[in-house]
Amino acid sequence: MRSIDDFTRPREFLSPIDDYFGKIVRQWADKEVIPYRQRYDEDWKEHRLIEPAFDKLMGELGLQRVLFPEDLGGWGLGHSHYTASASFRLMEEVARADSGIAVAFGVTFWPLIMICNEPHLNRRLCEEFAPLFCNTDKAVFAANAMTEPQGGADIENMDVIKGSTIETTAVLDGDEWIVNGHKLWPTNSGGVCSLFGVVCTTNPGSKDLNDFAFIFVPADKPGVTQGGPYQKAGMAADKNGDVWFDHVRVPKHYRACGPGDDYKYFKEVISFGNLGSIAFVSGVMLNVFEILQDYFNKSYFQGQPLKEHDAVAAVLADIVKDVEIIRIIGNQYARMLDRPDLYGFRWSDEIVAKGRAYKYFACDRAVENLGRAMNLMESRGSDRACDIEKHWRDIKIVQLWMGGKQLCQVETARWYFDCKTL
Amino acid sequence: MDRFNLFPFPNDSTEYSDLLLVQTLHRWAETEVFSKRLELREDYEKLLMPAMQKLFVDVELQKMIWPEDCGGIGLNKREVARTLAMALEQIGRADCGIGYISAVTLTLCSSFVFDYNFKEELCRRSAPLFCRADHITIGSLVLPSFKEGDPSEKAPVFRGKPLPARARRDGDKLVISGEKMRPLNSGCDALLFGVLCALEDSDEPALILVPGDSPGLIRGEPIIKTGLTASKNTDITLADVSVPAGNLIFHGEDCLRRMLSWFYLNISAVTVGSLFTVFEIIKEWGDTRVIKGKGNLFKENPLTASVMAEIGHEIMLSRLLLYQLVAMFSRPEDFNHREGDDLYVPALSIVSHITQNAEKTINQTMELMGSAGYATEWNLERYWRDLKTIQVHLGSWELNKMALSRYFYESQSL
Repeated sequence: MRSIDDFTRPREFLSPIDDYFGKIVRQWADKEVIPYRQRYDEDWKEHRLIEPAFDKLMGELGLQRVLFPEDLGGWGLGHSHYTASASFRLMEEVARADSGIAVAFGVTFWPLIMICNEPHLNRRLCEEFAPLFCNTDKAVFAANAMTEPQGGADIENMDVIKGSTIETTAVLDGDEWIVNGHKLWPTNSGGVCSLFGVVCTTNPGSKDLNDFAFIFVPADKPGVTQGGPYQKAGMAADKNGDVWFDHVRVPKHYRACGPGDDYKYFKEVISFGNLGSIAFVSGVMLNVFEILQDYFNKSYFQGQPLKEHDAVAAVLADIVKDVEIIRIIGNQYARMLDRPDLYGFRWSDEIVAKGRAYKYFACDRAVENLGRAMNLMESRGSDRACDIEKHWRDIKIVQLWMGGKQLCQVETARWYFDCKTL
Repeated sequence: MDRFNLFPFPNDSTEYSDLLLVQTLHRWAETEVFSKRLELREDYEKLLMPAMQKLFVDVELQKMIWPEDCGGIGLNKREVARTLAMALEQIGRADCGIGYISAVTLTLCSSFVFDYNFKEELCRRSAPLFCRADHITIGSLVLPSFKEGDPSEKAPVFRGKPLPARARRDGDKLVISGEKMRPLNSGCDALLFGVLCALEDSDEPALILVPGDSPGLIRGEPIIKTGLTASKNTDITLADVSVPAGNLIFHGEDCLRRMLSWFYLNISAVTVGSLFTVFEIIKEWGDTRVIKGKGNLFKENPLTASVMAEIGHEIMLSRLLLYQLVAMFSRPEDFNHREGDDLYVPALSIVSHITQNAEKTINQTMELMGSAGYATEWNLERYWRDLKTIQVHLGSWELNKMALSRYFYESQSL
């Protein structure tokens, strides 16, 4: 019988730690998550069931350390030439079990990309923040605080808006930044975050790229308030909430890369966000294949397994066809991020635009395929016990976040057709 | 502006009483559901059950299609299709789950109180539950579904799926057996089940009414599902349940198709009503949100306006299709008196189209609203989950299409 390992991967450029990552995370998934995940939805607020799985993955297995340099207790992935390829495998395997855990885990790296990745590794901040993540066997979460109440994900529409709608301010006062603002929806907020990367402006309304600032704010600083988690349709493992920064003071050197560079390298964060989104989709679809394989072998129609019905088989084929393509695209994008010598910088308009295109393709296909899979399974498709509806609920938000489909379309069109005003 | 009039429907034969009913249901929705759900979300005990009690008993929905001489309101004729559609739109607008339960309950009752298959004795025995009770009476249906397990077991099959139960005659009784059957709704609290059975020595399906308190009827543990919180469902087992022979509602495929046609009409109306709420949510979003900075209203952006247009477009077409189906039921003379597959196939086609487009429409609405569309606070995501759950309960589109092919192309072996 076929397994998820029969779906194609680019064997000629897998990362050297691919097998290791794959093996330990799949073991973790099968033992620590899949047996319990049907009860995760009711655990959205307390995380009593979910927290041990996070601790095992991020703390005990140590995967929250991977981006930091080796001499600081990390695994050195941030300065490797396979950051993206290894990350893709990691996120895909976690998402196979639970894409909410994958998001919370993956987003912890999101702000850290600004300081851990070459060529903009910020040694001073790495030294300062590495102990928080590397000297513990408990899960520690970081978050990117971007979205604001007034315009949602407008902030991520960087090429046109250029940070001019950001209302969270950073004012330099001697050797400290004073941060004020209100953010919505960061993954890993809702009370669990230990370190925020905050998108701010040093000059409200300005389109000067030097005024776009990415500033780290430890969550225990006076003036930081995290609201409780929102109740959502799914993704219980990913907590989101309001975050207020009220005259929060942080050292001047907590600005990630500096004027101009914060803006530039933040686009690399967007690229990795797109890569992660594709990996979440890919991981979910692999598990969907496993569920469908089991269900359509066991369910009978006209005296034979349902998979033998020609019309049903055609839909099953459509689904696995898309799993193949999504996985290939995701791995290809990872390769593009890992080889700037061939494909251009991770923060280039081209790489960002292509990431947006791949992301929305993958999400659209997954949303449609999960809907079709549920429909094929009839009333069982809506049973929690069949797991497919969980993936259907969870994967929808991957399509919605980071500006949703429309921002993906705009950025894709802008690059390919050289649009000026979108 | 009356937003529902944005979506036209042929109201040439709308009765004044229909409009009054719509107004009553609109008030019920506002006072019993909308005003409370931000606080109570989908609380079954505090929100959904009290709202259903008001609807079924105080508003007298459960009396609606029963004959007047049984204590009902007397709308037990096919002409009631328009009234049902208008009512179910309003109920679905408030809550899909309550709409779904209403739709199934009305379908079950219509199968033996409507003039096309009036079962007087059964009607008189059952009417008090609906017409004289001060409690809600939920009806449910058990229809064929896929079977898991040994294919060599010879179970009577209807269109490729095993009939869920077997029935045999025992004097003036029918004795029914069936294991772990999944009702369409409310397995935990339905008071009546219409169970599709294989009757001994017959290949034709038979629908038998089984009271929920019958000895031998065993309810399982509640099932957690994607949506339709108002429907507390579970598998039921019938262990030699004995019911009067008069509980045989129908025996034969034609009646089954007729009943399913009514079911599809009712579900279409619930779905269209739910889309009204989706429209109201995205309308407010478009009116109040900005995009690309201050002063640029969301609805004024060409890209988002384009998607919003598709949402309005789909709702409008769905409503037109719904009332076209209503016309087929209520004015058969205008449609060459369609019966059997001539009615069933359009009903199946229309409900499939409406529910599939509802999924697409809500998906698009969520895309426009980003994460807010996913948060329970905005109330959109519950319609997304509910309507998907309704859709999967209609059966797989791939297999339902076989019925269409049999009809259009006279396929013999599908």
